[in-house]
Amino acid sequence: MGVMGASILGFLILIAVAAPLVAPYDPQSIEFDSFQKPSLAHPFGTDNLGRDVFSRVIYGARISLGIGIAATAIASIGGTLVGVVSAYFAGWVDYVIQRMVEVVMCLPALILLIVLAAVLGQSIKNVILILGIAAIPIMSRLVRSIVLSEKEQPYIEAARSLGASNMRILFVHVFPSTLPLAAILASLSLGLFILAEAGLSFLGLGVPVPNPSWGADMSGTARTYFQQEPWVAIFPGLAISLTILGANLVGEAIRDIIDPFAKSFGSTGR
Amino acid sequence: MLGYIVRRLLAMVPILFGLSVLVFVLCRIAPGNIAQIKLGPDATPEQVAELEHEYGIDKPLPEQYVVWMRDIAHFDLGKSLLRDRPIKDEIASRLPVTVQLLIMTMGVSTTLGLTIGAVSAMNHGRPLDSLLRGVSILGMSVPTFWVATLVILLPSIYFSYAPPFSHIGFFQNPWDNLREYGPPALVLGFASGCGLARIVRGSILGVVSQDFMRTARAKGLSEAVVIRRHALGNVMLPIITILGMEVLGLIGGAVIIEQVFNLNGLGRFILESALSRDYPAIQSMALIIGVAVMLVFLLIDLAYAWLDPRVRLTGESHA
Repeated sequence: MGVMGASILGFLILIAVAAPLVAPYDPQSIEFDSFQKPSLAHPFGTDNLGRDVFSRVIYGARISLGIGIAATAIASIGGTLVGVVSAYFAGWVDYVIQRMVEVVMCLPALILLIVLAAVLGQSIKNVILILGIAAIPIMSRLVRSIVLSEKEQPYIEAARSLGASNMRILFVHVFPSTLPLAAILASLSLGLFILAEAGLSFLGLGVPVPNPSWGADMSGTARTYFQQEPWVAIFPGLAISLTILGANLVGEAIRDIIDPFAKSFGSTGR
Repeated sequence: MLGYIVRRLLAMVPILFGLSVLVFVLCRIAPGNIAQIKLGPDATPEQVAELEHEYGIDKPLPEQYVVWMRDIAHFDLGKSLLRDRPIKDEIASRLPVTVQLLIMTMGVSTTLGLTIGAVSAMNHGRPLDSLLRGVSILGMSVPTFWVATLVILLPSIYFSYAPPFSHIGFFQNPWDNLREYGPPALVLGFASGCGLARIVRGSILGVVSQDFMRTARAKGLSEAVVIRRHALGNVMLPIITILGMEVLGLIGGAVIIEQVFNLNGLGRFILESALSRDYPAIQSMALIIGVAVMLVFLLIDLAYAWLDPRVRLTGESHA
């Protein structure tokens, strides 16, 4: 299962990286006739502006995967930092941070993303930032629960009594203990980030228009022409589904390896 | 029990307060204030200043916040910039749509989730389990807006079928109403149900394998009693948490679904407000949603307290 997922993902990443070599045409060029059905020259057909859908899907992989991976990095690193600091230093630091986390968690994910997108405007950079930062509260909560239990372990006490500074304990002992959970979270959230980016772009709040995003290609003007060119709607969606499936399978596999007896990580501290 | 409820309600207040501040600050720091957006790029500075004064946004930020809070205390949510109608009216007219959608979706989701999850758990290790697990993961991986788009597209292409275009109340015409809300509820409910199914399965498997279950059976209790008295409560706890989280996810999902299926609900309202940078509307909706979410959290915690006596005594959700 994990192997299948990893191979799907690997294949897609390969395509994304090698996009200029794989894609037959420039995704933004509108030189072709519009509304062509899928054919040998245009495997996925062309859209209403005359762009080759196949090329757009391939280049779209770059954007979706790139954003997904970048956002996962931000969320993982940020979430781990916040979680560790909050849990390890406890006291009022923990209290304040947790209150702030709870406030942000009041807004459902998509709503928060929509509000942030409305406020910050559309650009690829903004999308990455929004996605990454919006996930930090939840990540930090989960990391914090791990650190809270690790903190009381005898080996930490032993290290402290040997004179280890807080910094050293943090780097050498505490951080590594969060890595298994962080790995699971990162792999599971990659799929979610890709989905979120697609959703945001679909709604018109994500990646700015001319860029070939899988979500954006399924919305806007494309919707009005669905009757004439259903393939524009079908293929990007297929690509998204495949990618997320791959990411989810990998995530499941990692989880099975690290923690086969996990009941569920549904307890996000509530 | 009552003490627990009161404590939780009191704990909600500072968070709501923080939420209002957060939403307020977010909407005010955005580039381009309300007056500029409303008047457009050709407005003269005098026109902008005049409108700013009328909207009260030329006052210092803390004062604006106080004004907003005072308005809210009087249930005045302000006027939407885009439509020039009081936001309260906009919300009132769209609320029934979203509520119906959510209720139907929750129905589909819980039915599907519980059924698939239970069946999957009971057939643990057999092909049926693997099949259902595969379906669940698939259902969770596919973006809802894609499925929704296909659900609208394909019937119209191949069967020339179109759902009703404008909103039909349930009491006017039940069948058309179902045709209007059925597909969206099914699409959203399926996606949500798949996530639920996985947790249900995991929860059941986790509980059933525990020692106290063996003890109960060894005591000679009938299977029905064993399940009802010992398994059910423990199984329900994580399920309830996830149910709550799913409801929250549905609020976001409703935005997409309403957009695709052209339903005029609250989700669409937020989306349109965000796209047109209608900050008063965004602010109010964010606050309302935040309140709704907190109520959901409260309900979850209450359910926990009811099911798990340890919570009532210690006030903690995890013993």
